[in-house]
Amino acid sequence: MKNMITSTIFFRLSRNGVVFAVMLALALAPLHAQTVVSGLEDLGLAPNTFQNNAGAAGAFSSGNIALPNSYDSQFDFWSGWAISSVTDNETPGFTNQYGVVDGGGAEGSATFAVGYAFDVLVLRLTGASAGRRVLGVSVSNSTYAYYSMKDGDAFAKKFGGISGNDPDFFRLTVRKYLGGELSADSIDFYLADYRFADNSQDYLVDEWTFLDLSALGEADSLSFILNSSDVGVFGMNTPAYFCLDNVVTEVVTSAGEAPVQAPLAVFPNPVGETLYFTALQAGEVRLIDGLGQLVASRRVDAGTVALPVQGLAAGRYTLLLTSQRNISRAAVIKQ
Amino acid sequence: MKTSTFRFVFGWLLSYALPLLGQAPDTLLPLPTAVVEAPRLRAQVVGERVERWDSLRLAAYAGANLGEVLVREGGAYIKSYGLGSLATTSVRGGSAGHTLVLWNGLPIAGPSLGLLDVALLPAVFVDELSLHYGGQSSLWGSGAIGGVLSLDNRPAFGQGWSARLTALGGSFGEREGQAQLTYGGRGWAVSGRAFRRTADNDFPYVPAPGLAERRLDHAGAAGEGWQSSVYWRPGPRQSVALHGWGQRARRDIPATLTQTRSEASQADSVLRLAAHWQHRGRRWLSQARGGYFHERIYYQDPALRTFAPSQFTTALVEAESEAQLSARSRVQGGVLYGYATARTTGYADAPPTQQQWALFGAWRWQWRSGQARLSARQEWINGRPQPPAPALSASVNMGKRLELRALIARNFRLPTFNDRYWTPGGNPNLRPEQGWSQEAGLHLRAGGLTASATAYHRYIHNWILWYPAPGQSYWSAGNVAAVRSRGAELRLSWRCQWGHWTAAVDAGYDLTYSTNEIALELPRIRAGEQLIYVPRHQAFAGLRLMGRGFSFSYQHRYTGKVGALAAPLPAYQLGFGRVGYLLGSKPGAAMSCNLFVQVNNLWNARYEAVERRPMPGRYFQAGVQWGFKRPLRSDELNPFSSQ
Repeated sequence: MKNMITSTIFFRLSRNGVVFAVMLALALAPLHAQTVVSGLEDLGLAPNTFQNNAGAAGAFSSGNIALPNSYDSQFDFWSGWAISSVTDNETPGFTNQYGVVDGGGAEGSATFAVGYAFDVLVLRLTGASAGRRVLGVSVSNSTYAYYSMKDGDAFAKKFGGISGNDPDFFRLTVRKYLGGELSADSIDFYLADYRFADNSQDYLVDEWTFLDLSALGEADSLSFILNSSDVGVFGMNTPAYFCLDNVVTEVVTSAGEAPVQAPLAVFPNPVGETLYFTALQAGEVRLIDGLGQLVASRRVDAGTVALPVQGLAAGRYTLLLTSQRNISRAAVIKQ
Repeated sequence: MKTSTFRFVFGWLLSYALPLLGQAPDTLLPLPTAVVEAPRLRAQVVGERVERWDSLRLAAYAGANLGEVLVREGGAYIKSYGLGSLATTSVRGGSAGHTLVLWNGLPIAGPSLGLLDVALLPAVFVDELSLHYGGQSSLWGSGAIGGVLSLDNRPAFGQGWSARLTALGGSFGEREGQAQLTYGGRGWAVSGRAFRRTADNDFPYVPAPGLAERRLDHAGAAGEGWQSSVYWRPGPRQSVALHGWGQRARRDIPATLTQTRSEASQADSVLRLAAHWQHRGRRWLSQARGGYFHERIYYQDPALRTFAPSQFTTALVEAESEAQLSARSRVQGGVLYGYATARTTGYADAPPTQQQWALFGAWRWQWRSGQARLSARQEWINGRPQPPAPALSASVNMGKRLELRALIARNFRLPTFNDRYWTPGGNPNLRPEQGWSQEAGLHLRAGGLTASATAYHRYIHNWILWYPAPGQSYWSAGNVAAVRSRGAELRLSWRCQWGHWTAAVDAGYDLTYSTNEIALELPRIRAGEQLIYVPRHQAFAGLRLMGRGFSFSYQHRYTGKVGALAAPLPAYQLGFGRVGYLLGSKPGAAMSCNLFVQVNNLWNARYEAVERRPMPGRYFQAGVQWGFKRPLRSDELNPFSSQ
């Protein structure tokens, strides 16, 4: 059940549809910060439907988050966030704007949020999570944007272009607001990335993927912006939609402080055969590829760690090191 | 080719045409002398530049639509989405809605889009095509900003019977049959024409240099239509005309170059009815005309679960009188009432309606070496006055060979129903686009040579664009832009005859600067930036040679680079060649048979007229036209002809 206080963070780690819930080391620290997963199920949306009007509240509130919505009754037009349980992940086009390419919410849930990023999308932290860290969110492509990028439509291009070699991308950029100020730091996530020299590495995100946002630190709210390589006179041609679920936020109990972000230095980077880094505390290390797949994990002790990576395919990876007190991450490029 | 094979092909082509009715003229069966049906004072050319294509010229365009005619003849830029696909015009740097299309003097564009798909205007339905350049709102009203494309049918009083069957086949599965029948007696004249065509349009294309050739899929088109006119002259001073035009078209919409597949298609159906009455007095002329136009468009894309039916109905009634005040002076005045309504899933409320009233007038003064015209028009839309549209034009002869022309006019275009009522974003408070235009030109005529040079300037403000208005999360229509257009047009024509042979050369060059004057963030427009899909340079040249039953023509067109939505489209050049041979070409022959072969895009240019929409390389058409005519006997001659 979502929207309950828990010490669990869900990672989306599979490419074949099998979902793993990875219990992080946070579970071993009951006296420290706990986390809340806001999964939107508490909104009570009926199966296979959507809600694009948040009413007078102006936002959909679930757990410790609020998703602002704007609805124009004159035109029956909405922007911001909509809530959906639509399961159609096969019909392309605008008429299926509430669908997610997975066919349902993250972790097998029914309800998820659809963001229409006409401008900047905002996610507000509420309750005990206000002003605390967002550890991460699950994101995926909307069905509308996915098929538009995969096959093109009358307005937007098929990613890769005519030759298949165009370095196209569809990028989600997340920033935070704290004390009314927008952070300069941001975290990018590519919902589609066709910039690889080897076209076989080009990908479209087609399943829920956990996006680690812990590096942003404490926040009052998050902003989401979509950018595409397919732009023209009328702006971005790729449909400005993405889907979101399972927002993992911290809440602080009287028992202690929240985990802190610690820097993680890795070398060499790019790496060939063995990756070295220093773990300040014992914990668990995980290596996640660009598609959100867990490709390696092991427990490590404090000290210098040598992680053999010669068997990995070339590409970009994220190294996550979690301990009782720290969550550290580093971007790794495998040659 | 073996004889039996030839007979099979010939017979197949002919059999395709036989089920159809009607007739039209060809090169050696010329149309009877035209009778002016359009309002005379408004139709007369004073100051502006006009290009005309009569039935003889249009007869060479069997199977073509008016978009293809204009591409080959020059003058207008045609934004074509592909072979047989949607095509719109841009004249003097204006948008598609800035070319007013008239059919026998009545505007036929619908209120929802305010423009016409010229690919759905078959050349066979037109006896005379003319393109009036420049601002004409004082004469014709909304939309006459870049120019006026006038489609006219002409009666054949006194010309007897004529008929023609045309069968045409071409590359990519093109098949077309046409039939025309014309009768012109002393008090009656009738014409009927019909066509049916199918085409696969599955041409091969290379998506980009270095890539493998592909074949266009889901691009088929089919259509049929009829057009008929009945003219009656109950007396020497009166004439009545009834016109009808029905047409259906079904077109698959192919995928773009960056689209994997398409299941989209569009079906169009048109019914146009018009009635004209004219009474001619000794010093005055009165006319009344009415039109009823109904169109349906059904766009669908089953893959996207998109089904978008739309339709509109317009009804127009117009009355005008023209009086000769003196040997040098004529005055004209008229009134128009129009009603329009439209339905589409894009309008949230009840179908919008529009009541239109217009008063217009003109005064023309002639003197020995020239003429001038002062005209004005005032319209009211749903009771609200629109911008007055005055104009002053003059033509002055400088000797026998040189004529100076000048025109200054205020012009406007009403916002369309989509601009006003579409959800979301329609803006009921839009103002008309409006502005002044000026032009001046020289026209030289010396023997078989004619040449002209024209310069123009136009500034349109309140230009309507869709943009994301502040505080809104959708695009909406607004009077947010201003566009300045200026340029020069050069034309050269030469005609000569050697014995049995006639040669004609036509050439032209257009320089068009049409720039946005106000910078916008979205759409992303810089101040001074050329409008997209408006080429700065266009040029064309054509040679026609006719004699001893043979006809040869070659036309060449250069279209300069244009801006587009994502990236500019490079310049391209197209060549068109045609060879025809007429059997039974002797004067007075009752029967004739014209065989022709045409090659399009002769130099196999790879080009796009619209971004990501491939166009065909070299392709062919061949056909046969069988003609019959029987003049009236002397006892059947028109009794009014001597009056």
